[in-house]
Amino acid sequence: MSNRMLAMALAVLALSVAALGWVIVPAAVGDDAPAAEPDNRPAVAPTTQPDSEAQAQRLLAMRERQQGPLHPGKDPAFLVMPRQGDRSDLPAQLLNLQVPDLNAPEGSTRTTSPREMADKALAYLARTQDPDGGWSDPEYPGNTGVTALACLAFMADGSRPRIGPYGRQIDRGMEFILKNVQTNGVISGKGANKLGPAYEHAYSTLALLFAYGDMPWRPQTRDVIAKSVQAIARSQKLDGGWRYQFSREGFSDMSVTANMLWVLRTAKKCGFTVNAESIKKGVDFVVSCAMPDGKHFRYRYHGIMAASEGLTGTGIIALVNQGRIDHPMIPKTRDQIRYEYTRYTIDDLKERRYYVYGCFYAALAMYMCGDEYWQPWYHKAANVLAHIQRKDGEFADQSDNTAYATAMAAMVLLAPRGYLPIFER
Amino acid sequence: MKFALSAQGLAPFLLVCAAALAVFYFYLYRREARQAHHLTFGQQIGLWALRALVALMVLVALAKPTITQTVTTERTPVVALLVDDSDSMSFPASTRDPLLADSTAARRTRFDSSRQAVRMLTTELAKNHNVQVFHFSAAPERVKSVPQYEGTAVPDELKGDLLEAIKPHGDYSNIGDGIIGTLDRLTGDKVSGVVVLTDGRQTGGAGLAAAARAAGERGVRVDAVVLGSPHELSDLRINPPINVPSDASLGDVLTFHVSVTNEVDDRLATTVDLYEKNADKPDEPFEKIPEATRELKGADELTRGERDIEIPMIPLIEGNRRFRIVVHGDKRELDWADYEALAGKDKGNGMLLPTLDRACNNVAEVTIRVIKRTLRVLLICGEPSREYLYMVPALMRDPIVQMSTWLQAADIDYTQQGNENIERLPSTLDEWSLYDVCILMDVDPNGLTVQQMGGLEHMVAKGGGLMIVAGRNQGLAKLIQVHSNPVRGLLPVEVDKNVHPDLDMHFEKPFKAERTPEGARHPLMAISTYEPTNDAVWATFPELYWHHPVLRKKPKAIVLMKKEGEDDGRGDILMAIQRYGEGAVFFSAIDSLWLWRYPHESYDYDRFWTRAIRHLGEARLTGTQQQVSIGTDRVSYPPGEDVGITLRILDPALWQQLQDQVIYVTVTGPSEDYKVRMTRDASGAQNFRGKYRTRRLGKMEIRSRQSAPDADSEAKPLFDVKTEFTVAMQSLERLKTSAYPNAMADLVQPAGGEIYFAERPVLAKGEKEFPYKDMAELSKLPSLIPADPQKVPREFTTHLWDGWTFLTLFLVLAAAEWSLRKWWGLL
Repeated sequence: MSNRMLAMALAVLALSVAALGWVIVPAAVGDDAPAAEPDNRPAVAPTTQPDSEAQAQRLLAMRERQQGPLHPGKDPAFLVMPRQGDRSDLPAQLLNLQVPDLNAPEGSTRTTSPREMADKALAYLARTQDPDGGWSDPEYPGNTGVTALACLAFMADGSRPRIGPYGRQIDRGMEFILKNVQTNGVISGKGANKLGPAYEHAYSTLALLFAYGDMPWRPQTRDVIAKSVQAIARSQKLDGGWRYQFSREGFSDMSVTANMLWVLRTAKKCGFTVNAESIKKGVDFVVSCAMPDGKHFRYRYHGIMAASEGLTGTGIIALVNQGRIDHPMIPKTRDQIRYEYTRYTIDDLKERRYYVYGCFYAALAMYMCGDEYWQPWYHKAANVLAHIQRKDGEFADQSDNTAYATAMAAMVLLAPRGYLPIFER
Repeated sequence: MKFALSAQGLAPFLLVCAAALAVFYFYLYRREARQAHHLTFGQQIGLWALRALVALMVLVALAKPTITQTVTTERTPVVALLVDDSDSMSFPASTRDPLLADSTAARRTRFDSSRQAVRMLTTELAKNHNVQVFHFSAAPERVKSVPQYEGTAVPDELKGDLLEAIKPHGDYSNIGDGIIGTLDRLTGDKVSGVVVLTDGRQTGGAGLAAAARAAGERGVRVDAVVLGSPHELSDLRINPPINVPSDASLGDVLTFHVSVTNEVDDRLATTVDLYEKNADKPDEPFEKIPEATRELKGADELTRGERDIEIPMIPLIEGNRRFRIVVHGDKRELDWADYEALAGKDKGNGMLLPTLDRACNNVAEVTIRVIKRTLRVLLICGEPSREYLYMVPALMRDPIVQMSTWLQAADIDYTQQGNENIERLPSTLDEWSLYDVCILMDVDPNGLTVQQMGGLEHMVAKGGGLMIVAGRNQGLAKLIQVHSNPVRGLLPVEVDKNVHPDLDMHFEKPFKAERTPEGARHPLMAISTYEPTNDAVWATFPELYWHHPVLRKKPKAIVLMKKEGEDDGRGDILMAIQRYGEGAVFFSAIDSLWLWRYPHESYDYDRFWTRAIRHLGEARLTGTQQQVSIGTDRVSYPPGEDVGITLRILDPALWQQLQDQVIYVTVTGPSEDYKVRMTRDASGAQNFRGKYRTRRLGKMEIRSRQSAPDADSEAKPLFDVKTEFTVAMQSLERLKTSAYPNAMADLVQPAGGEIYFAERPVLAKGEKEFPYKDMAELSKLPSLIPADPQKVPREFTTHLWDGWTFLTLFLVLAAAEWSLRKWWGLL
């Protein structure tokens, strides 16, 4: 990633989630408007008729909530979260939430929905795919990380390589990523990020992990991922974390570390052996970055000490990825995110630097925390994103990078779909 | 007055006699003429006059003349009141019965209503009729004869209770016999009408149509006063037995299926509570299970009649547990006092009827053995597809699933996921038999040995379950090529072994999936027990882009899901299931069920997979018991009655497997065994039905045990289910406790009478309502019964020739004639 992105890596999450405070607006614009039918699949209307199966589910869910998440097997990263107690309509409600369409002609009261916004975003990504299959941003040309995020965005809509409406785009994107695998296992386009390939390597590995089970025509993918995971393990620094460069020297930062832990846990789920000690060290580093108040994480333990609410989302993800869902820091940081988001208006938020980037991590964290937190957060985030989206469907950061921002925004908007395993409950 | 000759037929004889007398007298005249010349003309005329009179009297005597006189007399008509005194008349009367408006709660039986009706009717009817009051259970007996009274003052005898000496205790309600017997008893009287006071429940004897004919032949009007409520006795009860398995899994949902009957009101809000305690410690108090409380209110209120209620709970303590189910009582119930006593409260204000069996039926108890048991599932998956990533946690959430996964593509030192981590796949038959269900998810066939596939096939044949999920990585053709023998037999569908997945093809055109009619009924596809909800859930099933090509289904397989519309040449079967030996095999041609995570997140997705796994493992988990149930239409029967036996096959695949089988059930009693051949339900439901006529008293057991068609003699049966019923003498009076006025239509309609009833009757389906009179109009009934007196004509006949006067006159005239002749010297 570029220098600005690096500088932002502090601020990224700092400004994103933290400064991107939000105000819960109970009656957001267009809330009362009738919701469109999602994919012609109406939600099941609640019934007063007795349904012993549903009641049984509620009982089991209640009991599982009392017990907390299970850790079956030997690895604490393998979590079984409590089941859903009821058939919730919330995903459909959120996806069809009516928000003002700022791209409508002046004077018009037209509204749009996250579903429509995501469709436009995906269409934009499909249009802007490079001839070589990758995606580029002004600051990140031919970047495998941006390409991976775009592919993940298409996967969030239900497509798989060569299957689904965006199957071709994912297929070409994966080919681009596979072409940019270096001999040492690092996945990175040449010259795509001057600070180091850590981010794009993490995103690329993540995309490959979710795609390779559906790519029988590329049997070598597994080896690519295995080398990629080994490269991550090799580059773990002495303090337990990771940073931009694949080197054991220097100090880590929490943002990269959280992404690496995320990749390692996904790799574990997909059949790759990951050293448990490596993950433990990484999580310990994340915990060490916690501020004494227990509500924030610092960007780095050494060096830059700036604490940021924006890192809280990343911190939550890191802890949960290690199965520490009952970690005492999670409730505090979660509440802090909620508090910060209620403080700021939509106009405040959309002016933040790298809003979409921070919004993506906040979405991952709030989704994990349950509907009580997720629903109001998504409500606000969708409104902010509606203010940011341009006429052609793209989202942009302050440097006019659109591909990665559009991909991340699409993943946030499509989170209610539940098609992407990064959103986990 | 009427004159007649009795000997009208003797006219020729009389003419002959008259001619003979004329000849005789002519001869006499000729003979006397020679000696009677000395007689004067007057003497001769007198003598001849005497002779003519004698002759005339002879002729009159021979003609036998009579005089008939008719006299008509009038008698008071009779009305018979027939009071049913069978046992059922001791049941409560209608709460709207105007006859009991002033009665106390203790005197509100149907018979009490009869007393009031009899007094009122007799008082009015006796003004114009003789009233005969009968009571009957079978043959009628006269209670009272009330003669007509004149004036407005009611006689003292009508002010008391005419039925004082009668108690309702009869074992029968033979209404037809009562009417016919009463008419026989009143032969000779003019019967203007018969009024029957009953609850309308005829239990035997002559039919009502025959009684109506008998009344019609005599021109007798018949009216019926039907007493009681059209509903069964006010009661809220749990109907035995409680349908619940005798064994339950620790930590899993245990559902009590309770049949509750509401005969209290048309809508009734109540609560069902569940309690439990250690069954091995009888003195231990029951403890309430709060989460199992079922509030039946609002739209979920009980309507009148029977309803099945399901009470799910999670047993958390191992061992023999005693469960008590309590449906909260209502003060209007007959057994309210008992319920209150049971609940440790004061007695309510409910009506107490000493003749009724009032044991509290709001409570039922059952003992269940709670044991820790698991369904061991082995998931073998080729690559970590998204289906794999979502299915693993879905199945591991199931509290009875003990899951092991084997990801073939995993690193060699990878710790496989699951509740129980395995380091290698099972290889021997014994190791395979430890699993209940195996999932093959797009497996690499080269990662499975022949011995392993043999073990898998053996596991399924012995009651295990197999789920084959096709995928694009490996495809089924490769699996069939490598493991042709077991896979071809196990798969519920035919697959072309030469058609491999087209990896170069892009699948961008969506298609819809739909359940087949068989699939819609299949328990594996029942996401909800409420059918409309289930349909709505399946309506949210996503559009798909890829499925594995399939040629056709196997003959005994059931297609559960197919592509909507016509086959596009890649086969349209998406899901199918078939029985294999004692087990079952489920096949899915789609690998993207995870798309169903929208719009309800993982709710329906998880439930589908756990339901499928449980269905496949059910045979192992419960010995197939839950796939088959046997029952009778009641739990108790009188001797000679038919017992309706139903064998329900809940698993359509098992139903398919039994299609050519002859099914018997064995009825075993204290001294007999009897086999009943079952026949398939004509309605198309998955039931076998049979009938057994009860012969002996006692407890009987019904058992059905069926082996697989090709099983050897030592093989475990496909199912072995049993149930019990009792044959005992029963009072017909208590079988149906509601009043049934419509039955009286056959009686009163031909006889031109009316039916009086206090409420709107409850009709059976298709039954036509008879126009009833409200009980409030009963006071008008006496005026409708004819009061015309009985006219009795009498004839008095006088024989003019047959008497002393006639004889004396004849002798005097004959003697005078003889004396004059003697005196005048004619002799």
